[in-house]
Amino acid sequence: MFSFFSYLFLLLIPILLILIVRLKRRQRVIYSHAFLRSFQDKKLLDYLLRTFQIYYDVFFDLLLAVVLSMFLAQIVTFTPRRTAICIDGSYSMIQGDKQTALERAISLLGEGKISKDRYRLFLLAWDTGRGRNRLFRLKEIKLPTETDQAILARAVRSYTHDLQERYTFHNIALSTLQGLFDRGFRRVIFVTDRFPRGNTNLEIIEVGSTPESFFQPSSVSYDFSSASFQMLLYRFNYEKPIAVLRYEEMLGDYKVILASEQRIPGSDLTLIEIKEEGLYRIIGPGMDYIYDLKIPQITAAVSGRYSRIVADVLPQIENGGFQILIADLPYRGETGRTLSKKIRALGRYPHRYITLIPQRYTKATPLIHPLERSFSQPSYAELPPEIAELSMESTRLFFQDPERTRDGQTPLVYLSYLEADHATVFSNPSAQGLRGWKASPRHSGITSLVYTRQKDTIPINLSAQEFFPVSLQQDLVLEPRQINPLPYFLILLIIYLAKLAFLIRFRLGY
Amino acid sequence: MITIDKECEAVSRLFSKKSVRAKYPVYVKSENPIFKKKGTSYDLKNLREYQPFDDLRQIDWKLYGRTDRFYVKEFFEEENERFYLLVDTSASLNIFDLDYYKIFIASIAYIFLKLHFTINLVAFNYRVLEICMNVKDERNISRVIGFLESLHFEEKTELVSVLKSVSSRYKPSTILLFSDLFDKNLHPEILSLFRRSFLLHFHTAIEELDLQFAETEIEDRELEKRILLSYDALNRRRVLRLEREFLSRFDRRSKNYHYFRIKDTADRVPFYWQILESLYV
Repeated sequence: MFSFFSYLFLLLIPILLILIVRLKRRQRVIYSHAFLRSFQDKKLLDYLLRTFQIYYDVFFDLLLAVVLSMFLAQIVTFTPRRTAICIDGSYSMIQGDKQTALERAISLLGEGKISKDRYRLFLLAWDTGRGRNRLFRLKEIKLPTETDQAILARAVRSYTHDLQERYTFHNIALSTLQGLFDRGFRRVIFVTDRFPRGNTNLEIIEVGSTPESFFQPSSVSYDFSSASFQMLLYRFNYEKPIAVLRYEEMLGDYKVILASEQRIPGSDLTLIEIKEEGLYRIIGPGMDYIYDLKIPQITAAVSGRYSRIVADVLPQIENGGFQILIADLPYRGETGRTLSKKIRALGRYPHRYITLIPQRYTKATPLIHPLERSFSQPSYAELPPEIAELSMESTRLFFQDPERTRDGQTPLVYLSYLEADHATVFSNPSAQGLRGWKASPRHSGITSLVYTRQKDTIPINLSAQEFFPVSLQQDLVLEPRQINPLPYFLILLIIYLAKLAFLIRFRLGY
Repeated sequence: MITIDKECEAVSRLFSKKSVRAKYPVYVKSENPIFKKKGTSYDLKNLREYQPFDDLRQIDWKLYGRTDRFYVKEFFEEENERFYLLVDTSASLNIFDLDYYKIFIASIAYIFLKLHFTINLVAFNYRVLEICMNVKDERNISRVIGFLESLHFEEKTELVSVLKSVSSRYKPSTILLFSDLFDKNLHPEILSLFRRSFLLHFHTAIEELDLQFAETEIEDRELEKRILLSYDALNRRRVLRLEREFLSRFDRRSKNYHYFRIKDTADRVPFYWQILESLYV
């Protein structure tokens, strides 16, 4: 990189050349000074003024060169040495049984434990109007100076509630934080529940609770060689054996079966082999996973069936107040009544249910889409073709080893869950989108937002990362703004205008 | 090479034939009768007794008849007026076309000689340098030309001291001052030292230097100084204003002097005629 003097030297070359040419072309005349004596300088000020009148353009050129050199060498950056604190506005921040990560963040900020410097507070959240992430400026959090913890907790809850009312906690893109550096902040503190492990130049304050042990299904596929279903599970400090239950027609309930389980060396993955097809339930900590495993020789023709089934079952689920996740359950040879019975059997368990959909059903006609949409619009069981691919995009599988992250082979096309009592959070008809786009109330729910304009539809689903505390190895090094060009632009403009003003004054005599 | 304008012959001839009210200039040399030269005018100077060296023709015979003694009548000397041509030879004259300048002076001198005037030439810069006195008759024009050719234009101008010096030394009645008048101390009142003055101002307007709008170095050879200025619209206006103020000192009509501003591109002959006419105003 060039230094200030290198730039200045380069910029001075044309100025010097112009000066030399001017000196060569200087007019020299012989004339009496009889009446020109007033041009002779009596004072230093006269000399300076006359010299300025001659060399004012060079003077301004020099000023421009100096300012440009300073700009190029980034000597003065005009970037404020301010601190920005940004709160994570992702969905996972507002999840939690006792105290959410957002409440913890607000509490820390209110007590001034995060930064003692003056700072500006931002929230990185979803802008439903624009259909993208955005940094929202927040006022400084002022909690009452009460020592009573109950009052403080109520204030924190109230503030958090206000935030949730005003802003949309959905997906976030961490790259949006670049905007804070672009605004000239040199120190950016990101308050989040969990942060991808990796290099970063952000200051991370993690306020998420330590994830309890859990496991997470990664993929299910049918292995023809061993004639079994291969279920891959990711374990996080989860050492207990995984219980696999199969729905028994005779019992009308699920029954534990023996499924061979083996650890994959060098990873946190476990492979479970299941021989028979059927409706399976994997019991996890606070969350069950339902699989409808079928040997992939059946070609599904499932149009419309799913919606009817859901429509039958829906009232009972809603009344039950359970957190429900509904799978694609249509398959040939089973009546809707039977299936309803099976699903109703789940209702006894106050768990979240995750449905994993074998890919074979969705290859030709994707059936899976955000479940809350099915609730409100059962007839949309078949996804419109134009959003099918977009929907598929959100089904990428994440592994502990990032290199294994892939889309192919996996039978999983969608991970989602529904909290029925929050189903209308985003069903705001007045939410306006980008120039005619709007978040459609029919197609919106907690886990997805669907932007429509005439025939175009863009669904944006909550990413699976918002549900599973899986931190991937990911570097996030944002580029601090080296220099603020606006003051330089203004200074250069002022100098140039001054030069122009003097030019008009001297040359044109105005 | 200094030549005389060929029109000078015709100018002097025509002017001599011009009907004028009085023949001018005739003057008596000294105001003090004691020192008045005797001559052949009609103004009686003195009556005295005849001396042996006196011409018999000067005896006043009428007086002899009344007194029976020989008396001689003496009259004052009468001659045409002597003109003093004061020639500025300061360095600032280098701005002007010196050939034009010298030819102008020589031609004026020739016309005066042709009209039977006596001329005295005084060259000066900050002091009187050379003189060429009592040039009479046009056949002596070579003296004038030789005098002019010998001039060197250098040093600064000090018109006031020179005019005072000329006034006290020669007591001229009429002067013709050939100069660029580049003397900041010069004021027209100084010309009251002389009965009649003709200011022949050889002036090159600064606009005629054809200056471009650029930085300009103006060198004064007299002061040996340089002024560097940006000859832009603003300074041009200022320069022209100063020049106007400078010229306005001489531009007004005065009883003391006649003022002629001469550019080196101007036709000289009309000036000759105007100067001659001014003699009889």
